Amino acid sequence: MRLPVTRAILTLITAAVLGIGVGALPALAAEDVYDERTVEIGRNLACPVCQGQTVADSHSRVALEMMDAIQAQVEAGRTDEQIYDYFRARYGDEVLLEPPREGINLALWWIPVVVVVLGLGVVVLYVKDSAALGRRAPQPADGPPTDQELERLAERVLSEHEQNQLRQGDAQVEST
Amino acid sequence: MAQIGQGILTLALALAIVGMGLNIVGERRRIPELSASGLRALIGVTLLLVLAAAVLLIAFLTHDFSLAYVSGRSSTDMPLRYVISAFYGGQAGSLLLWATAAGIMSSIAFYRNRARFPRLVPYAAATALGVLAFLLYMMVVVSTPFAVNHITPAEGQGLNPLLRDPGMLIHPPLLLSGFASFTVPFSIVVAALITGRMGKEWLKFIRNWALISWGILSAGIFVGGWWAYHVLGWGGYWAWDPVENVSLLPWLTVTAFIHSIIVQERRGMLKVWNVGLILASFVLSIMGTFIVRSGLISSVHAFALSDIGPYFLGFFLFTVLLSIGLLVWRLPLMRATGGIESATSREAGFLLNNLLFVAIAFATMWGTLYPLVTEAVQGTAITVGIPFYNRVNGPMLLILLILMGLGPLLAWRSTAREALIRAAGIPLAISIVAIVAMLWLFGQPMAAMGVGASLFAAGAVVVEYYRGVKLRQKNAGDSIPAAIYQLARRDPRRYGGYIVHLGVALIAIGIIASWFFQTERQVVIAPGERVDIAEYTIAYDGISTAQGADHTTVNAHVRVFKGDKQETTMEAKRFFYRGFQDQPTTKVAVETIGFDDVYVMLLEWSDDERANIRIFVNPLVTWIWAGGALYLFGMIVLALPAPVPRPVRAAVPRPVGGLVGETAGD
Repeated sequence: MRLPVTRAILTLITAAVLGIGVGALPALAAEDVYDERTVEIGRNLACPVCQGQTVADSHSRVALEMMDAIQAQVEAGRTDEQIYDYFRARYGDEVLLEPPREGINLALWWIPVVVVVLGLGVVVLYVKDSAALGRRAPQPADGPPTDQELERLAERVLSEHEQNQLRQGDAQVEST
Repeated sequence: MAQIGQGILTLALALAIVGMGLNIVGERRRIPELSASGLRALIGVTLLLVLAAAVLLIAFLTHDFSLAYVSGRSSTDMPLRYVISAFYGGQAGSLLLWATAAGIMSSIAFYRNRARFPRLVPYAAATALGVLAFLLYMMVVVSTPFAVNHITPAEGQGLNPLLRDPGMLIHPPLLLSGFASFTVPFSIVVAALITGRMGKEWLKFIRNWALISWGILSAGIFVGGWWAYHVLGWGGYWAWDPVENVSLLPWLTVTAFIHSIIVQERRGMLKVWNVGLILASFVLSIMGTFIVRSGLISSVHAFALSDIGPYFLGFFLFTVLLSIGLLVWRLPLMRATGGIESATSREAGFLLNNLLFVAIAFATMWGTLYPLVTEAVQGTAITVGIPFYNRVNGPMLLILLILMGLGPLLAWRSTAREALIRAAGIPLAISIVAIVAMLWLFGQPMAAMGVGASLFAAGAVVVEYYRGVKLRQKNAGDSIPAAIYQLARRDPRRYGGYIVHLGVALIAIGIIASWFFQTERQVVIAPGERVDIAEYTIAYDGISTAQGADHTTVNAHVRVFKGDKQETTMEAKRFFYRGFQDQPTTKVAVETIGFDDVYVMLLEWSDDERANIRIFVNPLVTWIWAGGALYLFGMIVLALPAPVPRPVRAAVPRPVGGLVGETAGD
């Protein structure tokens, strides 16, 4: 991959020369390497040698070859289904970024839903329970007062406190 | 060097074990002198860890290749900054960094609070020493940073090229210290469960240290995203990779905690839940530290595999069982003293917030570990990728965003309908207008809803600020900037939290925009040709190469036009490091033009300078970084000590004095 030094210098000079011609918009447009559908399919396949990246995103040789294979099949007019099956047959289910929604893999999708629903149920029960507690039980020593009167008093004190703080802040500002 | 380092670690291990004993015996037998020396043992272990880290650092700086760890990941021609970052480029160094950070933080926490919590601190120090003893055992026996090469090589192997990036100078230490910092809240909770002391003062103590962990971990995750965006070269910043996921897990639970702890402070509820969240955060951070390195799950981040798996699993299980055991034992102590009175109350909002954070954590963990499940059950491996997380976590994150706007507008206990409508009216109107406009302009209902929710949350913060500023203008005659400053100064928890919320709203908009409206092209291009993408044109000018001390750089030169106007010139680079020629790394060319990031990546090239390049136009990614900065700023505001208004205290009637003190807490 490393270029010989002479070549490197030559290319540097070329770049410098080209750099002078700044400002002009080239007329010739480059061609896309892949169809949109190829990229879309590549995005749903996991790169087998560089885990954590998709085939479309990886720069590894294997991934680039897989992209070319997808492109060839897209050009041959095969359906998405056929293309996924082609890779599944070669690399196993592991190659699909989204596990097939069948058999045991249904657990992957449904268990989080079940947990959320259960959690919601627990929260609702807790709220009901605790609402009953809040109404029934007189407030324990360290609990806040439920009494409407006390609440109003607290609110009044709070706003007084806030205003006091504001005034005091001015005093501080003035003194500094 | 090797003997010195190994000696220090062995000494530290011995001291940690002795220190645990001193603390426990001193507290049980009520011998304060003994527990005091137990605390000093913690500080001593920390000093020894710092010393060991210094020895390893000196070995790196002096290129002492007699150490296998040093020769395995550095070389004499590497720039100084990467020689330093090679310190945590492997298993053993990461462990040392983790332990040192945990030691420093727990020493500070427990030394400063020894007089305030004389009963609690010995057990907390003993717990921290236990964690350190485990790590020290690993470093002394299993995976030592001071192992010696049989034959000292003349030159080192150099650092994994992926780690040679400025982002790598801060991301791993932040993340590792973030994980390590959970040792402190964990120790505080364990000590509280053992002693049964969990009063008001204790709540402040635990809250402050949970905030510190949350802050460090948040910063670590942000820097990681920034690094991925600029180096990995796939146009994104988060890929739901296993390592990213495990770093997110403790963040999710600790974020849930810093919200739900407010409910405990105000209303005396959720005590068991909060303790559980802290225990879970620590357990998850242990998992985050080890799971990938243990080789259980493979990932792009797995730089170092080793045989620590069984030890880690043992420690993990021990921690889980200890946590559950303590929790069950102390259940009777943690009865709620308040209840929820209405579904439209602040506390009910927090409850839903917690449910969502924990559900997201669960779904993320489930997806991350699921390949292990199928492997065990069916013997076939599968991949759980981005689509799963988007589909499962996406809707929950959306509700969380809406809740982020709604929550601050709800009153404690119960909210009057009219008051809520009055407060939420303007943000709601803004978000509805935005949703309609986005649907009309772009379609994409999910994106429209996400942006609507973000704007609602941001609007709610603005409304809250506006109210506060209005009040100050009326009561204190402040100018608007002075009022904004004074609000944050006087009630840092509340207004710091709002700033964080605003940052999150910005981040959310950036993520939604760059996810739904990213444009991408991959072309084979010859010098002098052009590519049109979105409203930009990229002109390609050819390849040049340059020789560095330990690497060759290949540059692809491009110019970016918007219309006919040239906006900028850029170089997309590839680096070939000596010893890692088969793993060229990337330096993406990124330039922010208006709202868009133009992002160019060099994939392949041939001798006639034809290049295979990949171009993205990513809208609003800069909002993610700006939001991140705002988030970090809000975090700093949050951490500021609230002023203590001494003269006012006397003016407040006794019976509700406690309530006044707590008003800072929403």
